Amino acid sequence: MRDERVAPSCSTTEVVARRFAALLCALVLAACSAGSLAAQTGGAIAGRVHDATSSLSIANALISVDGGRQGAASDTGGFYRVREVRSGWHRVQISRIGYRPVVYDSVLVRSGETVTLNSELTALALQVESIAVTATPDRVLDPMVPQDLQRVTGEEIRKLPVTTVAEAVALSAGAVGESYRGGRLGEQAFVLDGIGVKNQLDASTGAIGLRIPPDILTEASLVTNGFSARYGQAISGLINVVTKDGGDHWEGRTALETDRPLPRGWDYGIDRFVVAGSGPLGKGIGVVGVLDAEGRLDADPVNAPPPPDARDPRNANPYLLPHNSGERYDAGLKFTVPLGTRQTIRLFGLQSIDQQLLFDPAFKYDPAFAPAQRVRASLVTGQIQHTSGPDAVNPLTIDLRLGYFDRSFFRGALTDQPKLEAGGFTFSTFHFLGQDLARRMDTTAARSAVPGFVAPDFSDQSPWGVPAFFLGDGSRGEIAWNRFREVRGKLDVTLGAGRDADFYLGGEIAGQHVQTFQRVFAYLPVDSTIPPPTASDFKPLSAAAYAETQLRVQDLAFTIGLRYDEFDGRLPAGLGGKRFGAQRSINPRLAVSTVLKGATFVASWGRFSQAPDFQYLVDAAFDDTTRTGRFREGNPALGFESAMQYEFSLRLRPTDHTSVRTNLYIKRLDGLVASVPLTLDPDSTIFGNTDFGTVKGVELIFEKETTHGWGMRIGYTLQTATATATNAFQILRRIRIDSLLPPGQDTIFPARVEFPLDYDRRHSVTVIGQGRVNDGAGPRLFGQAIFGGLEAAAIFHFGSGLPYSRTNTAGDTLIGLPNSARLPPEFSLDALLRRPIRVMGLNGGLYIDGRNLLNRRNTLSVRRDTGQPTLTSGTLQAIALAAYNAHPEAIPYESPRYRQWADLDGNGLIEGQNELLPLYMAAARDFAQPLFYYGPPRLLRLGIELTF
Amino acid sequence: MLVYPKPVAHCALVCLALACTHDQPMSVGIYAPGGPFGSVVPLRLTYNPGEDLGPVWLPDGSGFIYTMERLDRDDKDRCLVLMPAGGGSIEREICDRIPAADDSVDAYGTAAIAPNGRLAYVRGTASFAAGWPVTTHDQQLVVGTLADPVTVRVLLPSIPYPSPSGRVHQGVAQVRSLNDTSLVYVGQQVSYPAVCMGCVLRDTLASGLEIIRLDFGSTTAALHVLPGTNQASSVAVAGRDTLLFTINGDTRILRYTLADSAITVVHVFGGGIARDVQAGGGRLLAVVGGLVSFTPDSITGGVQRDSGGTIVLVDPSNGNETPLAAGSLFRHPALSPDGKRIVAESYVGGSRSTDLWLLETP
Repeated sequence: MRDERVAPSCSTTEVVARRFAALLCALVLAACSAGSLAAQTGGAIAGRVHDATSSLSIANALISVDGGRQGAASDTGGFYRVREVRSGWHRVQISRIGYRPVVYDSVLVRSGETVTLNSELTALALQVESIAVTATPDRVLDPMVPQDLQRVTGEEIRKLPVTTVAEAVALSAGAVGESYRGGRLGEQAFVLDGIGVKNQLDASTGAIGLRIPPDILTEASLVTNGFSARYGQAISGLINVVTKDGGDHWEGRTALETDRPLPRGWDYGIDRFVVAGSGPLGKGIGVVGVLDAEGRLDADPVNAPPPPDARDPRNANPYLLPHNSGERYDAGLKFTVPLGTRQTIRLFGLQSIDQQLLFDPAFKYDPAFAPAQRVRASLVTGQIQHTSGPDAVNPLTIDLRLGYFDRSFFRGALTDQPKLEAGGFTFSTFHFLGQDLARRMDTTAARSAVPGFVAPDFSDQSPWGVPAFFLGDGSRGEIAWNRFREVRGKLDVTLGAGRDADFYLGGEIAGQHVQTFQRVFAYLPVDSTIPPPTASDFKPLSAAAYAETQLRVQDLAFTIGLRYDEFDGRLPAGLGGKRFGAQRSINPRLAVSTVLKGATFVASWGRFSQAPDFQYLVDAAFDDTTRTGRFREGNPALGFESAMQYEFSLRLRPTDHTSVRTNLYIKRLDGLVASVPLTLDPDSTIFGNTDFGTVKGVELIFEKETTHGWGMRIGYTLQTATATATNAFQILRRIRIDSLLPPGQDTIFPARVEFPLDYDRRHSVTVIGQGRVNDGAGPRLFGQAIFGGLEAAAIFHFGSGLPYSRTNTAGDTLIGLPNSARLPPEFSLDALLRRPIRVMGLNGGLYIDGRNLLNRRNTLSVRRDTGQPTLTSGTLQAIALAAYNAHPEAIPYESPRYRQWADLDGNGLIEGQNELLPLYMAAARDFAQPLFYYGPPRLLRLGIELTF
Repeated sequence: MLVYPKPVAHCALVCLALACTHDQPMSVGIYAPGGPFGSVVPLRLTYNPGEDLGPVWLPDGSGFIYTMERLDRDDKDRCLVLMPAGGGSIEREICDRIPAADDSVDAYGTAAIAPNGRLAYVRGTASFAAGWPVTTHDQQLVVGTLADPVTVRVLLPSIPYPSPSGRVHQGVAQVRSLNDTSLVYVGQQVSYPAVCMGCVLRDTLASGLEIIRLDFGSTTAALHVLPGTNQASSVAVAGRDTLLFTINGDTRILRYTLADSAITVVHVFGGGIARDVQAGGGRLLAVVGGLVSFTPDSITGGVQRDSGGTIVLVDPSNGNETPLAAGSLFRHPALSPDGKRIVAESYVGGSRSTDLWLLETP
C-alpha cells in the first residue's frame, strides 16, 4: 500500500515569480493564439522510475498497462507518461531487466486526469505479489487538469438519492436542471465514449432521448468552463460520459425499487427494475449489458394543494394526476474485443424508450382525448483504438470512432388508450392518430381533416356539467412528429512528444437526416384560420477539424487548441426559396494553469459555437395558447450560435482531505436564434440569429473527501444571466424607451436591451453529504449491529427564485420589464439510507430513497397576471361570467350536463343565472387550480439490490 | 454486513415484488341522474327547451333513440340521441360535428334500427342565415351502423326525389327496418304554409303520399311503391312479410302482405282518424282522433294536419280498444319490442316545444 500524492513543491519566492512570468507570457500568447481545454474519455499515467537503493533514475524501464495494450518507456531522467488511458481501473507493470518488476493491479484513471506512479525498482529479477495502489492524483492541485470538471461515478450515483445520470449532473454547480450557467436548454453537448451525440434537430425544446443506465457508467462529468477542441456543438457545457468495459470476471447487480408498500398518499406508482452484468466471453472479449426499466403511474407528480370543493374528485385523492403515467426502458450492451496486442474494438449499443401519457387540465374529465408522447432513441457506436508499443519514441494513439444515432419523437392523440399492465408499465407501443400520415410527411393529404380526429367539444363529464373550460369528444388535433438520424465518424490522434508535450489532432464528419411533420387542428381542413401542415426532409452535413496541444513546463501547463466547424443544412432548393451554402466557425481555445504556493490557478479563454437546432431552418406551425402567433417562418440561412467565455479558477487544498475551488467566469452569448417579427402580424415572424446575452458568475465548491466515514461537498453559485430572449419561439420583444423611463421621454426602440434569462438563478447552494457506519459499530440486537454498515447520503438544494414576466389580466401587455419579477426561492432535501444484507449467499442491500423529504411545496411558476399560482377571485368570477354568457342555455334533466343539486327549484331544468352561474364558478375554480405550478411532492421508494 | 435469516430475506423480497397494487389516480364520477325525473306515469322523460321527436326503440328494448333539437348549440343542430328505456340521462349523441358546418342547421332524424345494429336515418341541412330554417336541403336517407353511424351508405342521395309512382317525395317519414337489406317508409309531400297572413314565420306541413319499399342488397338501391298504399300516413312492421299501415283521413288499421300485396282491414277505430300505427309484443296501437284534420285535394289527394291525439291500445284477439292517458295528446308513439312501454311526443303546456313521455301498457 502506498499513498502518494502529487503535491507540487513551490517553496521559494523565486519559483513563484518565475511562474507568474510564465503565466503572463501565456496570457500574451493567448491574445494572438488559440487554446483549448481537455475533456476526454481517458486520462494518463505518469511518473518517475528510480533505483530503490541509489535513487538514480532508471532509463528504458517498460511501463505496461493492462498486459501491454498500452505502455511507455522511461526516459533518461526516469520519467514516463502513458497517454489516453481509458477511465477506470487498470493493471500497470513497471519492469526493467535486472530489476524486480512492480505490479500495480488497481490503478484508477479518471478522464482528464493524470495518475502519478513514482516507482522504485530493486535489483532482483523476481516476480512480486501484486500491489494494490491507492494513490490517486491530486486532481485539485494538478495543473494538468485545467478544466472545471464536476464528476460523478456510477457507484456514486448508486449511493446518492438520484436515479439518472441527468439528475446527478444537475447537482453540479452552475446547473439549473439542464441549463448550464444560465444558458438555454440544449446548449450542452453529450459525449459518450469520445463521440459526440446531440439531438441537433430540436435540442432546445426536446430531450436527447438517450439515458445512460448508471449501471453501465464508469463516470459522467460536466465541464462548464471550456472543453477540448476535440468537441464542439455546445456553448454552455459538455457532459462527458465514459462507459464500462467488460472485466476479467463476471459480476452483476439486480435491483427492484417501488413505493407499493407505502400508505396512500405516499404511493405514487413508482416501479423500477434494473439488471446488469459484465464479464469475459473468452479470448479477451468483454461484455457489459444492462436493462433499466421504470414505470410511474404519475410520471410528473406535483405538490399542488387539493382543491377545496368536495365535489372535485381531486379533493379526496389529490396525490396522483390521471392520464399522467409513463414508462422508460433503457437497455445497453457493450463488447470490448482485443485485436492483437495493439488494437481494441469497442462496440456499444444503447436504446432508450420513453412513453408518457400527458395530463391536460382541459381533458381532466375525458382523459382519453388528452395527448401522449413517445421518444425513442438508439445509439450504436464502434471504436477501434491503436496504441503504439511501450518502446515507441513518440507514443501514438489513434482512435477511430463511428456512431449512428436515431431519435424519433411523436406527440398527439392516441388511437386507443393503452392498458396499464403493472403500475405505469403498458409493455406496448403507443399508436398515434395520423401516425402514418406524419411519417409519410404527406402535407397534401394532411390539408384535409385527418381521419380519426374529431373536434373537441365541451365535456359533460365534469361534476359541474356546464359547457365550459373542460373538453371532451375529441382531442386538440395535434400531430407532431420528427426524426433525426446521424452517422458520425471521428478520428483522434494523440501523439506524445516527450514527457512534457502532447499533441492532439483530428476531425469528424457527420451526415444527418432531418424529417419533421407538424399539423394542428387536424380535425379541421386547412383554411384561412387553420395553418397548413408543415414538413421537412433534408440532409445536413456537418464537419469539424481540430488541433490541440498540451505543454508542460514544470508545474505550468498550457493547453492551446483550435477547432473549425461547419454545417450545411442542404435544404432542397425551393423549400427556403434559395439554396444557402455552408456556415463556418473557427473556435480558438486557450488555458494556462500553474501552481501558486499550495494552490492551482487556471486562466482559460475560449470561443465555442454550435449549429442552431435544425428545426429553425424550416417553418414551424404550432398551437400557441399565449396567442403570440402559431407560425414561424424557417430561415435556411441561420448561422452558428456562439459564446465567448473567460474564466479564472483557483483551487486550494486547506487540509489533506479538503479542497476549495473558485471559478469566476464571464460568458458572452451571441447569435442565438430568436423569433423576429417582420410585420405586426405575429404569424409573419421568422427565425434569426438575433439574440445576444451575457452570463457572469462565480462558483465556490468546497469538498471534504470521504474519510473517517463521512464526506461532504458544498457548491455555491452566484450568477447573473441576461439576454434578449430565452427561447427561439419567443418573439423578440420591442420594449419602448418609455417603458424603461417615465412616460413620454422617448418613443424609439432601444437597440440592445438585455433582460434576465428564464434560468437566471442568482444564488444556488447544493450540499451533498455522505457517511457510513463501521460494520460492527453501534448498538446490537440479537448479536447484530443494528446500524453496522449503514450508508447514508443526503442532498440539500437551495435556489433563489427564477425570473418571470408580469402581464396585465388579459395577458397581452407586459407590466414592467420582461423577467423583472422573481419566483419565490425553492429548496429540497433528499436522502438515501442503505443497509447491506446478505441473501441466499449474495451480497446486497436494502435501501430507502427519499426525495423532497420535507415535502416542501416549491413554486416553479406563477400566473403572469397575478404573480401567484392562483387566480384572484375577481378574475375567477370574470371568466366564469364570460363562460356563462357564452352558454346561458338551460340544461334539461335528460342532459348529461344536468346536476340535480344545482336545480334549486326542482323543475327539471337548470336555468337562469341563479342556478347556472354557481356551476360556472365551480368549473372555473376547478379548471384554474394550479397543478404544474408546483414541484414534486415527497417521494419515497424502497429498494432491494443483490450483487453477484 | 448484516446476515439476515433466510425467511426474513425471502419475505422482504416477496413483499417488494408482490406488494399490493398501487394507488390509482382520481377517477371521474357519474354526476348525471341515473333515472327519470319522477315516477308517475305518464312520465315526462325530456325537458329539453328544443324539440324532441321521433322515438324508436332499440331492438333489444334497452333504450330508444330520438331526435333532439340542440338549442344550446350555436348551430341549433338536431341530433340523434340514445336514452335508456326507463328514462334518465342521455347516454349517447349522434351529431354532425363538422365545425365547418356550424353556419347551418344539420338535422339527423327519422331513424330506424335493425336487429343487426344497422341504423338508417335521414340527414339534412338547413340554412338559418335568414333567421330560421325554412326548408331543408341536401336531405339524404343513409344507412350506417349504431356502432359507427358516421360511416354511411347513401340510399337516397337527394330528397326530394321522384318516386317510381311518378310523384315527387319531398320528405321521408316512418322509416322502418324490414329485414337486413330492406326498409319501408312513407314518402311525403311537404309544404311550408304561412302561419298567418303576411307572416314570415311558416309552418312545416308534411303529409303521407305512399309507402315505399327500399331494397339495398345490391349496389344500387331499388325503390318499389307498395300498391294500394296511396295516401298512407304511417307504417309499421308486424312480421317478416307483413306491414300495418294507416291512410290519411281514415279510421282503419290495414294489413299489407308483401308476398301477394294483399290488403286487409285489421281494426276500425270508432273515435276518429287513425295514424302512427305501432305493433310489438303482441300488441297493437295507434293514435286516434284529437287535433287532426284531413283536407282532400284534387291534385295531391289531400293533406292531413296532425297536432296529436289519443294513444289507443287494441287487443288483436278481440278488437277491444284501451285509450291510454286519455285527455293528453300524443304523436308518433313508439311501442317497445316487449309491448310494455310506449314513448311518445307530446306538447307540454302552452309551449311549442315537444317533449317525450313514457307510458306503460296495462
